[in-house]
Amino acid sequence: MTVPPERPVPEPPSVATLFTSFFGVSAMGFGGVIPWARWMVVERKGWLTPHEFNEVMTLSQMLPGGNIVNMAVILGHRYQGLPGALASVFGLVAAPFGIVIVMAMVYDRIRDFEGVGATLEAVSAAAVGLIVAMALKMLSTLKEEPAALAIAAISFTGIGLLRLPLISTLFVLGPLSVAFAWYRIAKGAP
Amino acid sequence: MNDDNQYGALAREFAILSVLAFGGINTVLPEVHRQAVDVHGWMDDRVFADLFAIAQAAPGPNFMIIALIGWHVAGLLGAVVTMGAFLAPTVTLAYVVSGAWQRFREARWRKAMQAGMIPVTVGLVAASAYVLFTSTVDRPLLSIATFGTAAVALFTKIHPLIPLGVAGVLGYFGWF
Repeated sequence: MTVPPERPVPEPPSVATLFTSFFGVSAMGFGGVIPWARWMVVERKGWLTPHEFNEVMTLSQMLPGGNIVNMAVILGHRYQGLPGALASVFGLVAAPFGIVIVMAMVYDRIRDFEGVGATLEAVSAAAVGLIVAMALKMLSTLKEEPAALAIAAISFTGIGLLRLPLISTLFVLGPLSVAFAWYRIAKGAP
Repeated sequence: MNDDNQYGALAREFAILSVLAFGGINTVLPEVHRQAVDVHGWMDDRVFADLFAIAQAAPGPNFMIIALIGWHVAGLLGAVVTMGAFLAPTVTLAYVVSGAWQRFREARWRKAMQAGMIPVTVGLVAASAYVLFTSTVDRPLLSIATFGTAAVALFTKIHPLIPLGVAGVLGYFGWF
């Protein structure tokens, strides 16, 4: 399994850019912010390559708390230290925080409006499409590594198809996969 | 119970839940429900379900139900206290670990952890796409919205809000 070197970003985003970028994706982030964050950092701004995104996503996943919060902290820290991390997290939380409070205030008045339910249902179904696309894009970065594809398939089967509990599955599969990677690195795998 | 106690209880419960939330809010959602409804009696099942629905419908991270619980219990300040308590511990931990992770980038244990965990993560993302699909899309017509959006995101550079907006309009007019 190849681990690409962490290249320096040509021009690290400023604290203000981190705030506005996370504010923007979070305000648009229907159905979860992570697909939107990948779109922003990989496809739109080019801060990370697809492989580097996998790395950051993996570290975010291993830590407790919201994955997207961890991702905001990691990227903010990487580019602008503590101010960057705080700006990213505040940017991430500010808009949705305001939106849910306003929605809660008007919820009783709009919940029974005709069409609201059907609209939300369609938007949710479309938002799942963004996650499907992200999963396929992340998977395509592994396409030349049969061992990694096999582990991804086991992880998908355990959590997705068999609905095994997340934590215990991670505690079994994670160490096995890491031990295997260690063995391959020790053998001088490319 | 006076107000100080409520803020304290909100902060304590959600700070604890935060560090237990491996894999995000979904892991601890049953415990959030137990605390809010059964242990503290902050709300009944119906209110909890409404708050959950609002948080799901809104854009942004899916843990915003936490802010809504704080808001329901103690108003705007309650929402701020609850959100802060939920974020502070894991933000601190992520900040510390992120620094160490960068410092040890040449270490073999880090390379092995990364190389080993990336495919597990990719499988998890694929699993959440599958689980969300099966729980959200309950009829073939609706899956057009899902796969149409996925195709746009995979094969075009069109802004993702456009397929979402189109799906919303079609949904509003009852096409799905």
